[in-house]
Amino acid sequence: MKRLATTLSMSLVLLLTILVTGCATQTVAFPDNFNGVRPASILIVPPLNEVTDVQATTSVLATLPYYLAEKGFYVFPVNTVKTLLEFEGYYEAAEVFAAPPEQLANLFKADAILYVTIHQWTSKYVVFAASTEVDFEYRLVAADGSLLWQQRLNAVYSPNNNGGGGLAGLVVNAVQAAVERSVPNYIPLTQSLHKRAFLAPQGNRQSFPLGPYHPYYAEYYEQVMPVL
Amino acid sequence: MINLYWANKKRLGLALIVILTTGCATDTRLYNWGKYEQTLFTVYHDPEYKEQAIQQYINFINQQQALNNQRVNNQTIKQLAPGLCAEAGTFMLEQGNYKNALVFYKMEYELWPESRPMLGALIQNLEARL
Repeated sequence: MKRLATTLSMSLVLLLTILVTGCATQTVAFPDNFNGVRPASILIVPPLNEVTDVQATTSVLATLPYYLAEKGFYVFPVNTVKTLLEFEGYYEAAEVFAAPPEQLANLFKADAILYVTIHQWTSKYVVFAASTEVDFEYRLVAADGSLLWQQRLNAVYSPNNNGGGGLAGLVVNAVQAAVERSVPNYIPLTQSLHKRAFLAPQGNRQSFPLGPYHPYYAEYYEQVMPVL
Repeated sequence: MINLYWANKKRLGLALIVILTTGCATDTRLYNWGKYEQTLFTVYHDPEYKEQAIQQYINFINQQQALNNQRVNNQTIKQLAPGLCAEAGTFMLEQGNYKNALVFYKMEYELWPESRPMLGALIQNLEARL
């Protein structure tokens, strides 16, 4: 009976261990990804838009704060920053991008500035097929003007890759293409890129470090942290 | 011995249930965001519903602040995300409502030390205008 009890409790402990570790595998982080700089606050300036759709800038701007704040950084309120920059005479993203980063950082007393360039934000429509493409370049610059981190990512969405289906299939495809054309999936695509850029698993040279408000900040800078 | 075993087993079972129910399904987000993104989309792209979206956003911020102030029984309430109170201030500023703008800017100022250099000057400026 006693042996059975021991076996039982041991297997329970084992099961518990598996359950507890289940969601938290250990991995090595690269705290040096920002060259040893540990910013606490990030200023997101209005993105530079290289395409014609004027909604691209504001859509990208509105979707960025979530990802950086949830990484543990203080993110300056993007619409407030946009408004204050306009008070200061910066009406266009191009003017903001051309200004010295040191000057911008000093204006808000930010530790780092995030510049995003929208290279692609298009929905193409070729008879029976539509595809939507986004392509962003992210650059994080320190208050002293030095480049801390950069990434360029793109994603394509096309609703009708199913192929075949004869004439009926073509009609369905055309309908789907028309829907994609009128309401392109820009926002989910944009969010998926931000996610890849900022929430990529820790442990490679591209991963974005954690900020001081993150509960794993201390562990992160001790090189090892659980993956979320 | 056997009694002890059963007692432990009960405890383990309880722990197991707690882990299974909380498990990986907990909301791992650090902050309460309300409808922040949607509000910005509406403000930027949908002028027809702008006023309405701003009003709802202001109500949300006020509600959350009230909840935080009267926290009872050690309930943990997720904090408002950084920047959210300041955005409410800017919406009020844009409408020329300096008095309310000040209230929200001061909330952000209190919550987030990083916002103080930016908001300190703005708060002074607005107080001078009242």
